[in-house]
Amino acid sequence: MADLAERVRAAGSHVTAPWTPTRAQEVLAQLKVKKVRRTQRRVAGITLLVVALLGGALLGGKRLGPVVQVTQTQPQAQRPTHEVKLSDGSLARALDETSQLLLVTTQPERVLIRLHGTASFQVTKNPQRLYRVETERVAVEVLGTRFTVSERPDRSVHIAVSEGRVRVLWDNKQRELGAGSSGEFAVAADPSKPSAKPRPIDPPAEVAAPTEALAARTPILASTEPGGRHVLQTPTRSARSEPATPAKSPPLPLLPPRESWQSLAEQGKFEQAYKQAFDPSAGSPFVRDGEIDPAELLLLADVARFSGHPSDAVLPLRRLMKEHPRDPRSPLASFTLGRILLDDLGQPREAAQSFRHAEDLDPDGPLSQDALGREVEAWSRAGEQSLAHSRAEDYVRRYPTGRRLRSVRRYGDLD
Amino acid sequence: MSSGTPTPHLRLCPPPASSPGLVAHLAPDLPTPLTIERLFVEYAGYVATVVLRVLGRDHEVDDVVQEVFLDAMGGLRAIQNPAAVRGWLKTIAVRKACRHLRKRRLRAFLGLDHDCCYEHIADPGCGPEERALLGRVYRQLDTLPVGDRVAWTLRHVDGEPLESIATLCGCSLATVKRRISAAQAVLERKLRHG
Repeated sequence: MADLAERVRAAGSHVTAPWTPTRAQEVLAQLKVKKVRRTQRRVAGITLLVVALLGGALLGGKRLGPVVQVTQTQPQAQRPTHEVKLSDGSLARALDETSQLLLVTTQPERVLIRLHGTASFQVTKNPQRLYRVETERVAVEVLGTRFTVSERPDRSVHIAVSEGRVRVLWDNKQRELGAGSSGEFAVAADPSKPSAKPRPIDPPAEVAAPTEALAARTPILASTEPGGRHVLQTPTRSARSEPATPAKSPPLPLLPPRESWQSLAEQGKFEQAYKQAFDPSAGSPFVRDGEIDPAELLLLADVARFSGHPSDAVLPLRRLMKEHPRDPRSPLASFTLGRILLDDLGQPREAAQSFRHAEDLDPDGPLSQDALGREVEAWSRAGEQSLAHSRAEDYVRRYPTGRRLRSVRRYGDLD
Repeated sequence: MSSGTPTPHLRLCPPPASSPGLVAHLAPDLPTPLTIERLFVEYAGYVATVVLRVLGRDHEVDDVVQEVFLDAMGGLRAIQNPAAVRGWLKTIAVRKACRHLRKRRLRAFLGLDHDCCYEHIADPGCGPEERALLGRVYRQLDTLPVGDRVAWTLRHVDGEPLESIATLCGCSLATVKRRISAAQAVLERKLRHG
């Protein structure tokens, strides 16, 4: 064994590559060629990989669903059509020849379809996407349901719900429709548009900025409630500057359409929104007899606060707390009221009670810690030092590392 | 100490015999940058010999040498000690040769590889007996697993120490010993009877 190894080692010293300069030059030249080829192969490989990844991402995105892609052949917001189908399976289909659908906007988070006539809608549930259908006088926003909207020649709207649940608001009235039910909703005639003939949908001029233009044209109050129910609301007469009883009143001159206070508020134009919202002749929701939606009341309060009229925010907040005590937004309303009373109106005693109320409504909610902390401050400012001290002790016990600990200790005389 | 002559703390080491110009060219204090062309001029012959000893076939050497230097291009910037270039290139060469041998075994399994005359791998100074021995040994090496073959070749043809083989092959010292023993046993048996 050792003999073999010795002999091989001796012979191995003669194994050397015949490496001549000519051979080296040839190998070096081939090496450079190989280098170029390898680079090309790598670029091709990376390109293929990127393409494969993009393809996979697209396929995966389709499967997972949050990205909505229109599969119809027409480009979006071009011409009216009879069917709009989205890649997630949502389908809008006109039910007769004269009905038309116009896809105005398709974005991952928003789909807007305008309807003239009658159409059925089957909407795949997607909480990250707003699916909105607009007729001339009614708007529907849905997350996932199946329903039919039908405009009648007498300007009423027929709504039939196959799945899910919607609430319809029209002319200061409201009614909920569940699966399998339907309703006829008569809307007062618009004197500025006497003709009830079906008219085709014009391609919108607002394609570039659909949201703003549509908001300007149609004051839509439809929304989705916290419980996931769908709200369908017609514009109020007052919001559209229409007479309450058009049959008896003389016809008004044609005025350019005015923006609703809601849309103004959403655009941050709180001064203008305030003028409309709190002017009884211009469309204040307080002239209505029926119940006002909590979201609308909160928005009213915001409009008042941000337009520099905090005292006017008190009424909608109190009304929300009174009329909707079990609404999940009620603690927020109570807390906001406390802040207004304490910071803007200088009524610390009432503010303390309001903070206490916010805490009582949702003791373990996200606002309870702040409500308790501000309550301590309010009692202290009201001169009720014993109450402030007592509530401060409660705060320290419940939130030993709370974010308002310093101010609570100061106002509660715990230092 | 008693003679009064101070003992030197530093010794000057001569450069390795196989690369006489290396230290002079690649000393760290010289500003000359490392380029692949320089590397090729300096080390291509050395890499070719390593590859030839592992593969045993001269006509396959050029491809593997090119692969070695193509890989070396990617790691050139990471080299901090130019004196380590030689060992680094040898490691790449051995691993490329292993990969090449595995492909060759696959080709042989598929019937696409042909027998080679190994007697010509030795230089003209080699005697006929040694030449014949090398031919027989390399033919038997073709029948061995690649790991065993490379370890044995590096040990007995190239004369590498065991620790160095472990580094070159990327395995433990015990594995190297086991592979060499296994290869040695097979070669002893077959060459005795052959």
